[in-house]
This record gives sequence, structure tokens and C-alpha cells, in this order.
Amino acid sequence: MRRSREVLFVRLGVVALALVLLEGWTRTIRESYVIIPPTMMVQALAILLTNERFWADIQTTLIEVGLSFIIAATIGFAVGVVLGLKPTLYNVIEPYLIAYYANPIFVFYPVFISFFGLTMIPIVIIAALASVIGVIVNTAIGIKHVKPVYRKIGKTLGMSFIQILIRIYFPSAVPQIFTGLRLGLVYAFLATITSEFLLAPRGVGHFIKFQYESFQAQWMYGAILLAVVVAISGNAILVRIENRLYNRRLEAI
Amino acid sequence: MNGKALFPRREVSLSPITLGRICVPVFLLALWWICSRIIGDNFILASPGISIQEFWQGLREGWLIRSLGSTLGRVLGSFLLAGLLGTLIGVLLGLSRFWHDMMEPLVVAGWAAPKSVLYPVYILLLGLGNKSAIVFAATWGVFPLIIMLMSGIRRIPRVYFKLGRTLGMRPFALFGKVIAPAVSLEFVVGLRYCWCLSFLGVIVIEMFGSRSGVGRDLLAFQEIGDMKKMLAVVLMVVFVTVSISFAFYRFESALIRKRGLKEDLAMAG
Repeated sequence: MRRSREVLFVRLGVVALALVLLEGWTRTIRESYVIIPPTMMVQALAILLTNERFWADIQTTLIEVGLSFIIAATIGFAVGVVLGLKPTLYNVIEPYLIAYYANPIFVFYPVFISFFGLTMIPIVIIAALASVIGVIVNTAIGIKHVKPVYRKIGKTLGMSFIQILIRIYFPSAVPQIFTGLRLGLVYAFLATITSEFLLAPRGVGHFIKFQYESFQAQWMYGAILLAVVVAISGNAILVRIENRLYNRRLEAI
Repeated sequence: MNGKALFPRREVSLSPITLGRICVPVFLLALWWICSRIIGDNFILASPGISIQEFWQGLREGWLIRSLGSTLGRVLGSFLLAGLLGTLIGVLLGLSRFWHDMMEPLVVAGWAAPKSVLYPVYILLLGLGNKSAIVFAATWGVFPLIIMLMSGIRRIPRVYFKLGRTLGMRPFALFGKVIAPAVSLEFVVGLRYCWCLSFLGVIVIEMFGSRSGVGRDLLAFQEIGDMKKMLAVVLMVVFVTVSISFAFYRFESALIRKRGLKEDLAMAG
């Protein structure tokens, strides 16, 4: 406990020192449009958050992330359960799951834009495609690694297949499934922001690119700060929940 | 480690799993063909046949090779940079428990941050061109390699280090004969992620603003509505990335067999 507190203080100290050094360096360089002081980024973000048009961009991004994650989580969970229950099918698909990761998913973005136009749909599809693989793989692995003795107990007690699935497989695989959902959400957010940044009519990513092209460094950095803080803090909170789920399972054993 | 050959000679046979793996691309091509027949207009969705024709045409004319060459050059540069940095940082953090515990949340935060929106910062600092592109794409690839190496080294049983000290091994010998073989699998998996994410970073840069490369060509073809050339480029990228991924998979499977483990290689990280 004492050690973890010591580590936390050192970590906070390192981050604080880095921010102080950045603040000092940016206030002394002449080309202030290159990188602005962190305090100015915070000020810019505070002003942006009072702007209705920026909130419209935030809303667009949230809708895209939400839709893509729901699609990816639903399809990913269903496919993951099937692959987890059928190890032979999983072995067949495994190299392609790895190859899926290898594919730079954004090569399909112009194809979808040609198909659906410059709307939310290509972004939702790309983000869902980026997100689904994490859900599939982790769900499949979680279901696959349920101990055979648990299945046998279910059969001995005369449980139906659906009952075994809901009362034995899913609770046992919850930590791994949660990992998949966390990764899915992170990938959905990253893919949405990147797609908006590349080519989109609106959204936080589009806002950042527009401000960069308009040489409005402070608004650009304000929006970048928002995207970075949301991604990092969201992932950190989900990791804490995930660690508790894994620890709870260890205690149950 | 247990004396087995890394790539043992195996009899080639068509097991159900091998047959299944052959069927997957056939199934995907069939699905593509059916969709193109339903739509019925090659301007909206070119059929596999026409896309493959355009692909060969692109190879003969040379524009496809030039495009891929530009992209692969940047990917190689960023992969080497990310590989060197990631290995050095991952090993140093893995060897020290204190620095591992201190830096791990920061490294994970770096992985989770949306790096694409930081590209303008790289351009402003390093200028437009290959230098900023390579450094930017390297920041995509470096984090998974650091995470894999860091956690891999922490998972090495402590008794291995005690044995090394008991035998009077010097640090370099301990690293070469104990640590490196113990994390070889994690290192190769980390390199795979490093390559994939560096590739992705380069594509993003080229789509954002570049004079050459696969990403730039894709957006250019999209602007003029040339679906055939777009799909030809996509086919080429898929072919290259899947081939490299399969090579990594084979190597990783061989390492797993050699160590007698049952790892799930597709585990997302």
C-alpha cells in the first residue's frame, strides 16, 4: 500500500514536471503558433465548451462513437460466442483474425465514402469495423477458457444449453468480455476521431483539422486537449473496473 | 529452449482446418462478387474480376508499384524507429519493478490517446515531409511494443534471475541467455503490432496530406470516382498486409510450439 502510494506520487511528480517544463519552454519560444503553453490550451478548451457550434461537433462525434460501438459490441459478442463454443472454427479463423488487425482499416474509408457519400455512415462503418475485432477475439477467448468441469456440472444438473450459456459461460467469461468491450470502445473512439480528421463534414476531428488549416492554433490545441483527456481518462476508468472484475474472479477461485 | 527445431518438417496434408482456411478468402470473394452482381454497376462497386484486372494493369503500368513503394518506404522507416525505441524503453522499464509500476499507466495512456489529431503538431515542429511522417507513424507503433516487452519481462519467473546470479552470469550474458529467449514470443508479437500500427499511421498521414503513397492515391481516386482503381489499391494493400501477417503468425506459432505453450495469438492488446 505504502509502495503504491510512493509510485503514485512519483508518477504525478513526473507528469507535473513535464507540464511545467513544457509551459516554460513554450512561453520562451518566439514561434508561439507551433505549440502553445498548456495553460492556454486549458483556457481555449474552457472557451470552446461555451460555444454551441463546438457542442454540435461533440454531439456528432458522440453519436458516431455510440452507434459504431453498439453495432460492434452486438455483432462482436454474437460472433465471439460462436467462435468460443466451436474451437475448431476458431482455429480455422485465427490467422484471419490476426490478419484483420494487420489491415489498415482506413484504406476502406474512401470506398465507403464513394458508396454512402460524405455522411456519418462511412465513419460509423469504419469505426465499427475497427472496434468489432477486439470484441470478437476477447469474447471468443473468454468463452473458450471456461473450464470444462463447469460445463460438466451444468450438464450433471440437467441444465439446458441456454441455461449453461447464461449461468455458467457468461459469468465466467465476464472479465475477458469486458476487456473486449473496453478495447472496442477505445478503438471506436480512435477510429471516429481519425475518420473525422481525415475527411468529414463535422465532428471533433474535423474541427481540429479545420482550425489547423485556418492557423487557429489555440482552438486546435483546445480541441486536441479535449480528445486526448477523454480518451485517456475513459480508458483509465474502464481499466480500473476491469482490474476489479479480474480480482473478483481470482477471489472466487 | 527444449531442443526442438523452430520450424519442424511436417507432412503437408489437407486437414479440415487447412481446408477451412482456404475456404475463407474464397467465401469473401464470392460475397464480394454477389454484392457487385446485385448492385449491377461497376461504377458503384466494381466486381472482383474487374478489380483484379485493374490490379494487374496497375502493376504493368507501374503506378501501383510506385505507390506501394512510397508507402512501404515510410512504413519501414517508422517501423525501424519504433522498433528500436520500443525495444530499448520496453526492456529498461521491464527490468525495473519501480519504473515499470510508475510508467505503465502513462504508457497505456499513450496507447489510448488519439494520436492522429496530433499530426499537425508534428508538421509544425518537424515540417511537412517524410521526417514528420516517419516520426508520427513511429508513435503509433512504439506503444504496443513497449507494453508487450515490459509485461513480458515482468512475467519471467524470478528464479531464472536467481539462477543467473548464482552461476555468476554478467548482465549481458543474463540478457542474452535468459531474458531475451524468455520474452522472444512477446517481442515478436509486439513487433507485429508495431508493424501493423506503423502501417496504419503512414496511411493516415498520406490521406491527410502527401504527394505520394497508397493513402493519397485512394483519396485521389475517390475524388474522381474511379472505383476500379480504388479497389485495385485496396486489393494490393490487403494482399501485402495479410502476407506479412501470415509470416508473423507462422513465426509466433513456431515459438509457441517450441515453448510448449497454449497461447491465443489473436488476443487483442
